[in-house]
Amino acid sequence: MNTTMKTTTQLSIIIAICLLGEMIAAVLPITMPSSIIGMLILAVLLITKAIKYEGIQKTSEFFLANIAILYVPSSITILLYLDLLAESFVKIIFICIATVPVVYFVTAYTVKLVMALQDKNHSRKQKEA
Amino acid sequence: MKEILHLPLTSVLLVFSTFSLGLLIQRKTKISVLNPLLISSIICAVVVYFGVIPVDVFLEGTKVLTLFLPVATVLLASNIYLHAKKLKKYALPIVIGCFVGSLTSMAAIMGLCHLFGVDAIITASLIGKSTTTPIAIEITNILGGVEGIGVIAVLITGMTGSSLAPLMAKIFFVKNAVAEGIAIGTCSHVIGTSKAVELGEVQGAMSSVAIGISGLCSVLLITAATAIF
Repeated sequence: MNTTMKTTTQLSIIIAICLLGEMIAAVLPITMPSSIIGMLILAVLLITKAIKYEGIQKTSEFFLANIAILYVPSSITILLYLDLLAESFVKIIFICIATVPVVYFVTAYTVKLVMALQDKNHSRKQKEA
Repeated sequence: MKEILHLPLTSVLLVFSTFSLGLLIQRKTKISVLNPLLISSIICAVVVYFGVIPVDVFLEGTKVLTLFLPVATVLLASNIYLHAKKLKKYALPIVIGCFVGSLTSMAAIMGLCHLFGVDAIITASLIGKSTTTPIAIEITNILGGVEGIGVIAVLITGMTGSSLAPLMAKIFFVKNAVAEGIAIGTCSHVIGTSKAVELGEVQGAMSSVAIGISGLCSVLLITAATAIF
């Protein structure tokens, strides 16, 4: 009984944050997804310890472990656009695959560059880290 | 029989059972490409395509799942919180790496789509494909793309990154574990990260940090772009 109460409280808090995200998204002059706003709010609340991670851990772990199942309905919307897809199927696959090494290469070398520059600037600080 | 097939619970059962089957297959074969989302999506798509459950009935019935998508997305904050310490240590390389990587990803996708003369709706669905699925869905919706194409593109991208990660490290001479991890997370999100975890502890941690940061960078870039254009 006790654990049920706890889970419902956890869910209430998280759903309230979702709605807060919706409200903020509605008044923001720019297009920002409400769930991302909610995510940032929760991140700030967790980091500032306004909400203890242990308090939402159970619900969080449950959702994040099973999150992929929530995408299945989204993926099925593809069936509504089969004509469009058939036209460019090979191109889509090619674009998806070809961009991966490009992003990998650029990201890895950007990180290396930044780390090398940091090393130069604070060689002492880097050593203890 | 038809009444039962058209009940919302039947669609929900189809999703849960096929997803469980996918988990079982992945566990037995240990092949990361055979992930439960892909397996479940293919089976559901076949069932819906042949009209066993009409597409509108399926989408209506599974709304209960879609409803919780923002809840799960908000909970991604837990990952940011849990990795905050590691983020602090390499804050600058992570943030700059993820930002440049996300920008490169979107520029490369737009460039290739333009080159191939791909339909604008498809371009809109592909732009967020290097980010984790919930963020990619949001980006697809902002740009007016098709969620389904976005999800499949995310899957293909993740599977590519996961299978090519060891090879790319060799070809591009990436020996720095931090750089390797951030690169994997930025180009191939969660699916790539499962591979990064196998490659090493540092790679795994950096890759999971990069998922959140590059996802945020991508959303901010899109937000900025839609505000300007």
